[in-house]
Amino acid sequence: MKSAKTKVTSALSSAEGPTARANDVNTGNVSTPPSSKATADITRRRFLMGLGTFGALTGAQTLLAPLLPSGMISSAIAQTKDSFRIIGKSAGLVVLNDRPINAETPAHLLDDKITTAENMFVRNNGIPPTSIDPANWLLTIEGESAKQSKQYTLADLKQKFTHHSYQLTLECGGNGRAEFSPGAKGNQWTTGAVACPKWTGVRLADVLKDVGIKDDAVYIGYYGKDTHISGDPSKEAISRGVPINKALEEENLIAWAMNDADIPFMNGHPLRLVIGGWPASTSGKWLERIVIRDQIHDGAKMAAPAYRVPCEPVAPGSKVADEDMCIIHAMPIKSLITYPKSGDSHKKDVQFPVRGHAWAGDKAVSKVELSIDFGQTWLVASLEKPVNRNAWQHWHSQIQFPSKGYFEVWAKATDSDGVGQPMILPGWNPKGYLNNACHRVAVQVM
Amino acid sequence: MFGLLTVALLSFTSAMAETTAPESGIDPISGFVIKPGFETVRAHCTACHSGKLVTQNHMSRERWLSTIRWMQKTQNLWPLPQEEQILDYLSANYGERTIGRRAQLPTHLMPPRAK
Repeated sequence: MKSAKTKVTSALSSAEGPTARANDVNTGNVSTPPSSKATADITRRRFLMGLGTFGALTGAQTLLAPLLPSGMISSAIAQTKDSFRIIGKSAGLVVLNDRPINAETPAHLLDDKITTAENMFVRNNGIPPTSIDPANWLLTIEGESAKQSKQYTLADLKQKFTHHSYQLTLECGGNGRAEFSPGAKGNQWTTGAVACPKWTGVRLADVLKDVGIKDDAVYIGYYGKDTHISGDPSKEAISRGVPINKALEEENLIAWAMNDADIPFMNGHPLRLVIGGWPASTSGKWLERIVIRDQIHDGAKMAAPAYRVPCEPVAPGSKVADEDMCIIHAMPIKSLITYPKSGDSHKKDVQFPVRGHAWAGDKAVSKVELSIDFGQTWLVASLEKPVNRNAWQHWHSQIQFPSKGYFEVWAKATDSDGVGQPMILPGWNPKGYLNNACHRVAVQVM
Repeated sequence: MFGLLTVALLSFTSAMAETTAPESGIDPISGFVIKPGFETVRAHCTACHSGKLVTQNHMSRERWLSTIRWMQKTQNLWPLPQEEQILDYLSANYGERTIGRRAQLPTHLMPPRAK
């Protein structure tokens, strides 16, 4: 049986407060961290209430540890009707998979301009680490195209390099997969594998340059502390990367904070990469090593078909050979309607506000339009500039409905190269990546 | 300690069972549809990952088979002695759906139907 103390850390800690990731791993200590928010308190109280029914606190924690996926509370303990809740995350997240844990955010819970920690989606290729020790965390930078091998503690990173904060959109490459037909294999994300919180850390470029980059550098790769779902310690859960020129862009961070607090455990605490504009699988979590490569990185989930699409478009349902699949780079233009919630009713003669966000990997959004007649006519929305490159942009508008009845509001964004979103599904691909078809919400006008 | 372990496991399992009614035809432990062959599928297909990774998907028999081969080649899946039975179950209950280039909004995102 695993040591109880490691499970206590993951099960009882919350993403809410700045000190939530304290190193206290005392088995018996279940005191509330000083600055927890209400959600974390309720979660912890329910957990303790459930445990109280079973007997001695310490014994029950030890007993339950092997039964619960790391980081989750069963409804049996939480006394809610939800099948599973994820520590530190809103109960409104939709859990697609509990092992490995994957959960997405309904569109109306992404209404904040800056995504909150509890509302950011959770994506795992593998199993999150079961014990973390921030005080002794080491980040190693090395590789055949690194001038040296160097290690940094979190304190080293914080002291040696200038801190930077950027709002950066992270979107899973498979966001939207659920709509492909025939169905594409994998977690069936709808619209919720996207978030734009504020990240704080040091520039990836600054750390790479401190180590020294050889002239023949082509790519970087990351390694994290998550483990393969088969339990095989020789297999990495995921180890991806980006070309060296992308890596050196100034907004990319080695980050320790989200919205001025510790990154939630489920999103990579204590340290992660944040690479804006590319599939979020390039932003490694629980970051412990970066390698500077003289070739395209070949870690787990770099090889076809992972995070690749056919180099030449194919008809739906086609079989595509691995050698005909190309790595996804920047994410395509996309937008989301975050208000109103789909399915709501609205009074015809009252002004109808609509708002949301839009984003394009490595590019700016130049226009967002809305249609209430399935694309026959479009209304241009007000669009804000991004706070920084690769942050999403906010848009809003008002709609006047011509009559009562069932309407759909469709949003279409266009990027700075004039490329817009399709209204139907774009090109089918075997793994169901890159569905950036327009988002729409249904409204009953009364 | 052993007695406490037994009690805790039973409480946990029965509480989990209560969250999904067996009458709905869904196995509460794995989420699989209760149809012939589901126990075999559950035994082999939830050792490493949750049943949810299976039940989310809808694929042809051929694509389920190529998924099994991929897992055997790269994810440490073992040979499946009841492979045909497993494929029968998956293609019957989680088979391919063709809905064209855009489906309707799902029911839970639609306004309630007028009575």
